Parts: sequence; C-alpha cells; structure tokens
Amino acid sequence: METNFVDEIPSAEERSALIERVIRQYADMIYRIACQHTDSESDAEDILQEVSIALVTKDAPLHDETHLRHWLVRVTVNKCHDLYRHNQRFRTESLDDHMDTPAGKPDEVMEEIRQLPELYRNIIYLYYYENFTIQDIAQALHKNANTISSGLQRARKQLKKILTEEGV
Amino acid sequence: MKTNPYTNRMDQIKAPQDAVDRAVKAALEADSDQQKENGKVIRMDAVMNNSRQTRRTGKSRRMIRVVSAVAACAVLAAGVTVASVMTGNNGKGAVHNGFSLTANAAALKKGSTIDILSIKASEPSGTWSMESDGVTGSAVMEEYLTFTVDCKGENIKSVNYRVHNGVFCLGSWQTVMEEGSEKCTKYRFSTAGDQAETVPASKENMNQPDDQQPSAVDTGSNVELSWNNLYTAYTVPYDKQNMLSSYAADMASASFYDPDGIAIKTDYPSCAIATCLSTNDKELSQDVKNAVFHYNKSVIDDVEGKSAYAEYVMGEYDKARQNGHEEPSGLMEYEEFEAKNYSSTFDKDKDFKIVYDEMINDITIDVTVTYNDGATETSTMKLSCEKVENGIVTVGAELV
Repeated sequence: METNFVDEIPSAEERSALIERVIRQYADMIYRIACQHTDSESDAEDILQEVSIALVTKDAPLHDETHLRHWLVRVTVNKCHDLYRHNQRFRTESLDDHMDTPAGKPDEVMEEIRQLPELYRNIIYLYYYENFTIQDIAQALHKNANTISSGLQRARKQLKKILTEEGV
Repeated sequence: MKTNPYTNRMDQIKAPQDAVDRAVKAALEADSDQQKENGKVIRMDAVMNNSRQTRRTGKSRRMIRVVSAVAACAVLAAGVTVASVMTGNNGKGAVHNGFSLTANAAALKKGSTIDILSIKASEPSGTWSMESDGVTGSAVMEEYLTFTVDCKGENIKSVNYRVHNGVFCLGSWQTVMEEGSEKCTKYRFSTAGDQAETVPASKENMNQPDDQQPSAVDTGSNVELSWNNLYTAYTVPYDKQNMLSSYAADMASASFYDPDGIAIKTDYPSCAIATCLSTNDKELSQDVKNAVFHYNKSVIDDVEGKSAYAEYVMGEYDKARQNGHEEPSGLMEYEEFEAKNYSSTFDKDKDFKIVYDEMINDITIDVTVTYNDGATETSTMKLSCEKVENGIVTVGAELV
C-alpha cells in the first residue's frame, strides 16, 4: 500500500523534517546503488549528497512514496552516469579508494556484481534487495517491463553462483 | 527478502552516518536558500556553493560545475539585457514590457540563429535510440534535445510552452499547471533497450490528439507512457520555471561539447524534446543504419561502455528470440551483424547532417506568457540543425 509522506503543503519546519526523514530513510538505498556503480566510497558519498540536493531543487515527488522511490533510483543512476562520464574525461585520482571488504577478504561478490552490465546491476539490486516488482523497476529505470524481465533472467544466469549458494 | 551472498553483501553496505549528515545538511541548506529566493529563479551557483561547502575539497568536477554555473549565469544575465522580441500581443490595452527568451543561456533573437546546444552524435549516453530494418528499408531514429529554457519579463503570471513536431519529456511535473497543458499519452517513447515496438514513432503521430492516434499504440505500455510524462504543451508558473526538470535532464546534463567532443558545460536542462525520424526512404534509411553502426561502434570501442552497448542490444536479443533464433552469444556477433548493414560510403558529418536536419529542422516552440492582468503574448522559437563537425551536432534557435 502506498504511504503518503504528506497530505497537504507543509510548513517550512515540516518540510525540513520531511526532507531529512526522506534522506535518512533512503540514504542506504542510494548509497548501495552508487557503490555498485562507482567502485569508490567517496564517490558514492558524493552521489548521496548530490541526490539529496536534487531532492529539494528538482521538485521531487515527496508526496508519493512509490513515485519518490522510483525518482530516487532514477536520479541516483543518472548521477552515476554523470560521474562515469566525468571520470572518463577528468579523472585525476587513482582507484585506491575502494570499498572496504569484510574481514579483509577479497570482495568476490562485489567483483562479480561489477562484472555485470550496468542495467543488470540495477535490476538485480532493485529486485532482490529492494523488493521492487518488474513493473516497478521498469518505471524507475524508464525501461520496458519485458526488457527488465529478460534482463533479470540473464543477470540471474551470470550471478548464478552467488545467488544460489544459499538457495534462491 | 531472500537471503543469499548477494543480499548478505548488500547488508554490509551502509551509508556512513557522517555522509548522511552531510547530505541532510546540504539539502536543507539548498532548500533554505530556495525558500529565501521564493518567487525568484533557483540560483544554481548558490546550490553548487552549498554543495561544495560540505564536501571534500579538491574535486575537479566541482570546480568545473561551479565555473560552468557562474559562466552560465553571467551569459544569462547578459542575455536578459538583450531587447525582447515579441509577436502576437493581444495587449488588452495594458502596457507590457515584453519578455525575453534564453535557451541554454543564449539570448534568442528574431531573424538570427543562435547556437543553443551541441550533441555528440556518438556519445554513448543512451539519450538516443535507433532502429533499422534491413529488410523493408525503413528506419526509425530518436533523439533528445535537452536545454534550459528561460522566459524573463515583468508582471508575468505563467508561461506556456507548446512544441510542434516534437514532444516535451518532463521529469518533474508537480509545478505544471493544468491550464493550457496537454499531455501526450499515446506517443510511443522507445528508449534504448526497449523492444516491444507497436507503432513506429513518427512525427505524424507524435503529437496528434488522442483520438487521431493509431489505435495500435494502445497495445503498448500505457503505464510507462503515463510515467514518462510526455506533453505537447505545458504551463508553468513564471516564478517556478526552473523547478521543472526534464525526463532526460540528468542523463544528458552535459549539453555543450568543444570540437574535441569534451563537455564544456554542465547544467540541468529544464526542457527536453523528443524528436524522431521515421522513414521508408531507402537512402535516408541507409544513413540511419550507418548512424546506428557509428553509435554502437563507438560504444564497443570503449571497453567501459560495453555494458551500455549490451543494454542497447538487449532489445535485439529479444527480437531474435521471439523469431525463434538462438540468442547471440556475444557482443562481437552484433558488431559483425551491424557491420553488414554499414555502408563504407557513409560520410559521417555529411550524412549525420542529413539525418539531424530531418529530425530537428521543423521543430518549433510557441512560448506564450500570461501577464498578471490576463493579457497574453506569444513568441515562437524555431530549432535548426546548424552544422555537424567531427560528429558534434550544433543545434541553433531563432525567434520567428
């Protein structure tokens, strides 16, 4: 069931509280998506911040949680695209700033994920972790539902090992 | 949630608390600035500065964006000083000082074309998609034209934009007023990777009234169409023009390129127009096919861009499967497949010019302002493909 954050135009204080609540609620989602695209914690943090600013400057659909989730996913992915394009042209720092790996082990799971085409990464994350439906993913990523469905199948094949280890 | 190594790994990834705090602070500061500016346009330089204060220093892209924003504002300020050009004043006896239009901070003039946008034809950003049919000789190609558009004047209540031979793609639409706005719900907006084509996109059916649309379009994804928020016309309050963002805004935020194809301007376009070329003409179809090849080849040549290419060809995979063919095993097969359709006589700049001329040259935008006293004035902006050099397409605009 859809949850509306607000039913009417909020006061300045209510709006600030709403913005903060939305950012804190979705920070992990935004950050995870960014981490899967950027290889870098600092870049992911930058993207979190840019998406948060876009939330207030780009007239996000704060009143509708479903659309807001879609909006946040799409803007996050687009910010990752921006960063990728920028890095292609202006990268001046090394990629030593990689994500932490648990217990010092090689991060095989993330390495596998990063081998996936970008669309597959998004689909897998939204489907398995955020429990988006195929239609939700299609709307969030502005793709045809059939494309998402077939992409999910192919992503599953490629990620069979890490998705089936504990039985999916 | 199902548990597997993937979800376990995702569980371990959490946004650092200090990063979340910084994000909240930056957003609230930006929002506060925006509220203070109530009734004025959003100051992108202020937003950028807010952003910069709470981030790490030394990020070159931040500096570039701030410089771009300041430069854009400076040009915009200069543009606003240019004498306004108007047509169609119904006046109602009131005295109005007219309004001026800027597109990507370039002040538009009557009878003089100004460059407002450049498109890197081979940019693998997914902002255009093309389909070609080697059997029938028909071809379809789509392109986004994204740019900021600003209307400046005094005592203006609202601004209405109406596009001909194109469709507005709005990403945020909360500020769109009902009055004068017309949704285009039946144009099939095929993005790269989509494969469920029902009716080829064409300028003929692009912004026709619903009842004149081919019924076959109904079999398309209506939910998706609704979500895409396509408009043939929209009205926005004067003081909230810059709160609009376009569907393609973030995807195509770099809207100017230098002759080497390096992005030199970063902005968030408020206006995105989808345009398309649908043809059965054999020669034009070949040009489109060659453009498709060039586009995909450039992506293939870029190792990091292979995922984007894979995304694009997914539609082809599905078509092949639907036709009972085996799924191609790799990207190289598609490279070879498309190479077969490629004509070595393709003159990139010359033929891109032909294709882009077809897509852009008949697009016009009527901009109608409504003053506080109810009077209206209209000015019409005409777009054109000015030149193509080294794969960079320059789009111009003038007032007519």
